[in-house]
Amino acid sequence: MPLLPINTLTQNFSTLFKGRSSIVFWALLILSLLIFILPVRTKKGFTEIALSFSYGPFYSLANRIEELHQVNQKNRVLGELVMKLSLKNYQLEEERIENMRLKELLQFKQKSSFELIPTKVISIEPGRFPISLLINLGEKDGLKKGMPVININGLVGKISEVLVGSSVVQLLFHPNCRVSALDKRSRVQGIVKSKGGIILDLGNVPLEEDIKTGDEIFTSGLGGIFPPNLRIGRVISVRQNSDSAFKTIKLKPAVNFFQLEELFIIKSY
Amino acid sequence: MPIRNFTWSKITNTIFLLLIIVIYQSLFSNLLTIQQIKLDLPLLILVYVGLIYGPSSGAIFGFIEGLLLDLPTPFFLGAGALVKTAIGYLSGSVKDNLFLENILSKGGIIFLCVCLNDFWYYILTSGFDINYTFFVFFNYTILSALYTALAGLAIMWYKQIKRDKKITENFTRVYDR
Repeated sequence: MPLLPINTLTQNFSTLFKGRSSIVFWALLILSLLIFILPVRTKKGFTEIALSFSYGPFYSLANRIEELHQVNQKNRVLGELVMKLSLKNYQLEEERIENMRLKELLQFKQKSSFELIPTKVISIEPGRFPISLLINLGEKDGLKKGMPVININGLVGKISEVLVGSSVVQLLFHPNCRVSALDKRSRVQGIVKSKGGIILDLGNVPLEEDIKTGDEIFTSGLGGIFPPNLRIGRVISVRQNSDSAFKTIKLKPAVNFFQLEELFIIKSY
Repeated sequence: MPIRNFTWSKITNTIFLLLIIVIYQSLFSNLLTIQQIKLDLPLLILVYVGLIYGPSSGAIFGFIEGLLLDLPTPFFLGAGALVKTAIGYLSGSVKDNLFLENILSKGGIIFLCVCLNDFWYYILTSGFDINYTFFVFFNYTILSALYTALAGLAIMWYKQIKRDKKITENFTRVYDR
């Protein structure tokens, strides 16, 4: 059986002119035709009113949804932009700080009486307190074992090992590090060493010597490794021990060993 | 009273269906359009009304729906009403034919109605420009008719499956007591 038999179609065609439904059909058809041939101005007046009642609310809803969608998209784009700009801003800020630091280093180098080689810290030995670090210069750059290492605040340490393209710097906190030092005010001499921790000790200072809290301690240059007049630190406590011939003197280092980035190696003095 | 109730249900159904059409046209029509091939949901509803309620109701619903769809284009106001009145009447007049028990036949009716609707509408609105009408017909109308017919078939299949399930459940309830 075909899906739409021919006799059904012919029967339906004959109903176009018979019965109540055909009257409704023809009446509506003629009405539609009359509306269609109405002047456009008349039709416009009618449609404007009808549109505002029928489609109006939904059109405004659709517009709102579209607006929200656009705002959402714009938000996403702006969010990405904000992220990119903050990253750029962060980089610029980093560069600004680096620029300031480098400017200070340059000034320091120009003022210094030593022949200095600028260098950068590659890595710091992990641990609670830094005792040694790696710099980006080595044997090919003319570095030798024992060369003093400083920054703009004072003495950092000395080169303990020289590799081809890098070197190991032994910091003042290293247990094997010893520096001959003197009090700037009283010219009393002693030896700076570390007993672990972030505080240095000034040892070998007899009980009768004049050392006070707040005194600045510098290198004396007597050891032959470090040149004289490099700042080591400031005295923060002085104790007299009845069972010892020497004072117990604690120093706060002049250098912040947790923020080491650019250093100088003293090539000659 | 039953006649009055029946009329009221018809009116509420009509209003509900017209509301669906308006919402679809304003909010979802573009979402369901694939590569400029639109789903003619208003026509699907018109064919449904015709097949359920008969030619008079089909023609009346077609007339109102046509006017509603013509509102955004005042220049052609009446053209949609004219075409859809005819489509509503046509779909309603095949209501009582036995061959419509087959779902595929209903799909065929939907396909035919979309084709006729678009053909007549473009003929009227293009000022009887046959070339333009055939261009639109072969490039868009046939695919749109296919899309609408498939959507209609999917809905009808879904409804049939649900109905069959309900009948089976009722039978089970009767026999398993």
